[in-house]
Amino acid sequence: MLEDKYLILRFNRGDKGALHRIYDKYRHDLVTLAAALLLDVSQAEDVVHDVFIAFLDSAERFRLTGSLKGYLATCVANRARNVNKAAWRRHSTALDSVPEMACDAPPPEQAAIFGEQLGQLTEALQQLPYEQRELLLLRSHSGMRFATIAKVQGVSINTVQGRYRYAVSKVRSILDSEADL
Amino acid sequence: MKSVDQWIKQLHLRASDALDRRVHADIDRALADTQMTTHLKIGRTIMTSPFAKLAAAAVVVLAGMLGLNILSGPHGGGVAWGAIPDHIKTIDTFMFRLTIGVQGKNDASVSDGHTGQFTFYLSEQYGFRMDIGGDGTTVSWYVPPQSDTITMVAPADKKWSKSPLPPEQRGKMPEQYEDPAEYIQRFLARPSRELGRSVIDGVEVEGIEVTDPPIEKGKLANGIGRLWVDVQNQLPVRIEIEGAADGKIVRWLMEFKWSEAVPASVFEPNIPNDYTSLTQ
Repeated sequence: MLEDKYLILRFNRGDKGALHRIYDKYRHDLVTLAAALLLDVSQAEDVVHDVFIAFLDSAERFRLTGSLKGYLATCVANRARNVNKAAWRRHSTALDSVPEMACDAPPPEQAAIFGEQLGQLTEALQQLPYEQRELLLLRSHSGMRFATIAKVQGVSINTVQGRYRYAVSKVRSILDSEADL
Repeated sequence: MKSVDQWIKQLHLRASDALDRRVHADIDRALADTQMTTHLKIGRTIMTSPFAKLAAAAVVVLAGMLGLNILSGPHGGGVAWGAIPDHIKTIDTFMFRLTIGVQGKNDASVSDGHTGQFTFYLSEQYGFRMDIGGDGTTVSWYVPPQSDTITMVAPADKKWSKSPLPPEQRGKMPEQYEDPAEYIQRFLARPSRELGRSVIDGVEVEGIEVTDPPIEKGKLANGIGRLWVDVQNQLPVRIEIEGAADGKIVRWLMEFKWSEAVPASVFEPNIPNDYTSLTQ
């Protein structure tokens, strides 16, 4: 935290070394988060790239009031959500002409992005509604508090906690059923 | 059986080399484009920025020494602790360097140490200079005595600028930092023990160590502070503070130079002919 505050001080005065350091420090976590949200590594890297370019533009006005990691994770989540919405709109348009394209299981290349061992988890995440997947990842991967996630998702903390319980239960059930096979 | 939370924590991808190259190149390019306006604004807002607050906080540490009250008593030893403030008051020119080091502890995401450095030169005769950096990207600011201008020099970018000081800062540098003693008084008020004599950079020093040294905000876990004083000239050489905060090991190193050890030339901006002026 102290290091982050110091990096932001340097960043505010346009010190390029600070932003390079911030990127190096959080890049893997952010790419992982974006890839788990979008289940697409290429799109995930585009999201992280865009987040850092937008962050760069905020150099003079940015003030760190909480966790830098949390802030960047929120930026990634917001941008990934937009990418997901755009993809969903394209998909919906396609469905108008080609019915019954929906499929619970992700394509093999998506399920394998985190390796074979975590393929079942990836499949389980894919089967969650997007906002639940986002919630689960922000909470368990990025360590964000429910109250912060509630603000990110624009819902009440009770809603977030309810969604979290449901999401955990559904993922658990999918993982267990896979294990039984 | 693993919990869902544990499963999710196992997710890990590495950013590709291509992404690394793309982001680093874009950072360099974008900053090169904005460098001019940024540097100009730095000159104008320097004393109101969060950085300036940190810098001021750092100087308060030094200012504490300037206004130090008589501190005779518990520490004893070869150094006449109580005479230090009067001695310092006779000195016009000095240098104070603060190096902040933060290192991860049980945290793989911060495996490498990270440091930052702030150096201040203060003189009623020669003016004020402040350097930030120390890693090859140092930027320096200069304010001559009784001046209303501030000059910025960025050697790494070969750029410089000269701007008016904010009105509220005019005529106040470095006098604004002459507020005494609170820090060092609090420092020396902590439980302490004598460290005896040692040698720092060839200088024979005598030190004391305090537990739970005061810091600007919050509190360090297992904090230790050491003050080392030159046995010969009875002036502070170094203060070391270390402890833990937010799961990281934090080290502050404050180094001092006095009088003739700080040449007048350091207060003069060095601007080679091939530097670009950002002054509008």
